[in-house]
Amino acid sequence: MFNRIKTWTVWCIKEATGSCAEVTRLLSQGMDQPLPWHVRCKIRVHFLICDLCQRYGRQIRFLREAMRKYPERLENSSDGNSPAVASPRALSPETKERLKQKLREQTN
Amino acid sequence: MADELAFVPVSHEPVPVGDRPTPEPSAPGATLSDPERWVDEHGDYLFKYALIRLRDATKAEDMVQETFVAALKGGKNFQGRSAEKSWLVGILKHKILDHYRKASRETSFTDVEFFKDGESEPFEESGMFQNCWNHDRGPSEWTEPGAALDAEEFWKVFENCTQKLPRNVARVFTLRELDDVASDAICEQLSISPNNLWVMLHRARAALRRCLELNWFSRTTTPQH
Repeated sequence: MFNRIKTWTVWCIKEATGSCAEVTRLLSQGMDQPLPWHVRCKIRVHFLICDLCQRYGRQIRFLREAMRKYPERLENSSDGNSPAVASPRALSPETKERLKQKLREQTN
Repeated sequence: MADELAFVPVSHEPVPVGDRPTPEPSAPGATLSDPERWVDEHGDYLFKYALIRLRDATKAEDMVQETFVAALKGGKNFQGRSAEKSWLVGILKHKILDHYRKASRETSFTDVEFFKDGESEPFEESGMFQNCWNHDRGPSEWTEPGAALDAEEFWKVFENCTQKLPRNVARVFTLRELDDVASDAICEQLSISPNNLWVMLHRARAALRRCLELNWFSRTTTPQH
């Protein structure tokens, strides 16, 4: 009996605040533009019944943090071609020479 | 005009006299040695910068070359060495954005596949809780995401996951998340609608999140199969 009431309550809140598919979409959109206050409220209330959406929100914010640290990370791979990454990290000496040659041609 | 892009801090103006280092005597050959020094001092940085955004080493090299050539042509009066790097980066940013713009109308096959697959988050397909997370397959708790940022291996996984994003999606995602360009500026510059942009960003986040969960965060809790 108690479980039934719980399920119905959760269902009602879900109906009022939108499905997880919709809430995840809004969470993403909220990172790109300010959401109207009533939408933010809807998300808050949805979080009361849904840990997973809350977790999803945290995780996509983590992606932003990681993305912003990514160039710094490349910068710090001081050996130029870190074994942890697949693609080249620096210009080869030949390419540098070719670039210089090109610039010399341009100045003449 | 390209120089009016709000988010591209490029300036072809000479640095105010007060900010300049002591001007070097303009000996013959001085114009020659400068650009060659750029290659040694800034070449690698510019290459990495372009590589993250273009994901193609050959194209990145071309962009660096174009940047140097443009700098050479446009920057005859530029003498502020301290601001040289950001000046070159500014030119490179323009080049990359131009490249994005030219290519933004092509939609590759992988893009189509990606969007078809986009709704395949593990949501319930029917029942009372249709479109809600399937509790067994929804987002799992990530242990110490902060620590991952210090792990060399994490970045390898991260890079592999970003590589899987279709080109156009990866571009808007990089502009938004890495360069922190505002949504409306992205829409304007790439001539796409806000809705289109949000769909792409949402898909990119969902795909990247899933990929990291599968390839990094789950392997610390469950054995690899």
